[in-house]
Amino acid sequence: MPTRPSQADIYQTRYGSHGDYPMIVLAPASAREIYDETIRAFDLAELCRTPVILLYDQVIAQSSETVALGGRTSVHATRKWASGPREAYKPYAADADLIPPMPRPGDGYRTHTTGLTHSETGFPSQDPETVTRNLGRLYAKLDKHRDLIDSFEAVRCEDAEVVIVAIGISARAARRAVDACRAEGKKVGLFRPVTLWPFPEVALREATRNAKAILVPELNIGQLRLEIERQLRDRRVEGLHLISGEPITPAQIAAAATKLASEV
Amino acid sequence: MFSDAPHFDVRDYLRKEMMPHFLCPGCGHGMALRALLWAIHELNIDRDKLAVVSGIGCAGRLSAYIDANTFHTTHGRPLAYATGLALARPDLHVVVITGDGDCLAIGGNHLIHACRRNLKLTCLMLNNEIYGMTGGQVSPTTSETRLTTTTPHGNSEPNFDACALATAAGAGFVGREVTRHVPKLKELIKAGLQHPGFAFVEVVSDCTEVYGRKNDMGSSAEMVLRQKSEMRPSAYRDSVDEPFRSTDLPTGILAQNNRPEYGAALRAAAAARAAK
Repeated sequence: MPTRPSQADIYQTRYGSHGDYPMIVLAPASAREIYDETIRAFDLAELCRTPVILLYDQVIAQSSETVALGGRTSVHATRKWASGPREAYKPYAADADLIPPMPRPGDGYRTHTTGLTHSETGFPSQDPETVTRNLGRLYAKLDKHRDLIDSFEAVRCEDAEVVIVAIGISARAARRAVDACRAEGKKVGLFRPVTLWPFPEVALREATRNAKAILVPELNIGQLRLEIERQLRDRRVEGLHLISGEPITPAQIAAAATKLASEV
Repeated sequence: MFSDAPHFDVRDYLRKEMMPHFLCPGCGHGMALRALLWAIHELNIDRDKLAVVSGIGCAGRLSAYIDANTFHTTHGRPLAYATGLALARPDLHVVVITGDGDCLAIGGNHLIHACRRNLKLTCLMLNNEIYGMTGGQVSPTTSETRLTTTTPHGNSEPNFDACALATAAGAGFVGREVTRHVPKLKELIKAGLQHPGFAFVEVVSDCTEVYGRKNDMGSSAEMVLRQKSEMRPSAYRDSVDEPFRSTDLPTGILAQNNRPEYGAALRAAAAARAAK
């Protein structure tokens, strides 16, 4: 539905290309956060030498909000360029941080770039050991930088019996629902992954430590819910799914959370 | 005249670690690669400043064999990658190698807009009339009635004239040559490399293993001879030693103009804005 909100590309951003690869996806939920996360997207892309997707829904994208810009500056956007003798240079031989420095065309390294699986030399390879090593590095390099990649917001989760997990406009509505439920004495919290992929699973487990049930409101038939179910197999996970092209209202989420709280 | 200049040794320009290459015996693409490297040699282009960008397919694999800055990119998109590279790095000499399927089907829009922009690039389209690597499917240049794996009763679509398309879209330089004539092809590529705008060069190549076999066109040598007898390149129009069929295939430089080059125009506009 063009010009209408939905959140149905959660797995498209994660698994949209062919082949096996990790992905960084950032899901801002406000105008200010789009600004911050755009800067962080470039930072992470340069730091990890990987594409980064900035994913937000139509409501977030077209909302007008008053924000004070500034404050956040780029910290990692300086690219590591190849240096040293040309003969010994291998474009995909990684440093200790698992990120290989990039060759700049014209500097004399004369390297090859290909979408085929390749060895550290950059040339195509189908050698099982080489392919396993180099595809494995793509995952390992993100694992190594998770402290910089992971980002989330946890609101009143410490004592929450019901934790709502949501992104984008659904998280904005959920934030209002948390206040409404708390005003009614219901122990409801919100966990909002800002980095959607890789999913901040450690923070999710921490935020849902005391939760008896999880509510996942989202504008699709159950994409984020699938990941939460995968992460929290011992917990009751309920979805609140809307595919009508309208955002979910705070009242709808509050009602669902209240119902869930009364059942657990 | 038709022997290599004594100081040109194709092996100096190839990556030995990539040998043996992956082309089938009799494939015409090797002759196209040789002509390109020969042209680069004669123009004394610094290979540290040479970027070769290719797409997917048999032609797409050629970039890996050239000892330069090489990029094997996505299907149909070498011109898009090359456009970014040439705009960001006007100090580089950017050459695109693409095939008929890559350039005219998957990347057809990239081609017409590259022609329209007239950015300084040299685009070599190796036309073997078939998707060879993927299993011999019909391509936009497959001749009518030809058999392919997806046209088992003969191709009924009219084929594309890539040079007419490039000319109509405004390319600064358009030319065509057959692999039968490597020295002439080398000269054409040289002229393309020296053109200040977008240069489109169609290389009529042969796919012996997939296309030739399916259409009973004989050995690779017979297919190369067919370029002369059947395609009627204009170079042979006055020759008397071979009977010509009616198909006309103009070769040589087919169009050339001096439209403004896009990169220089863009940089001048940016400089003018900055000066304000």
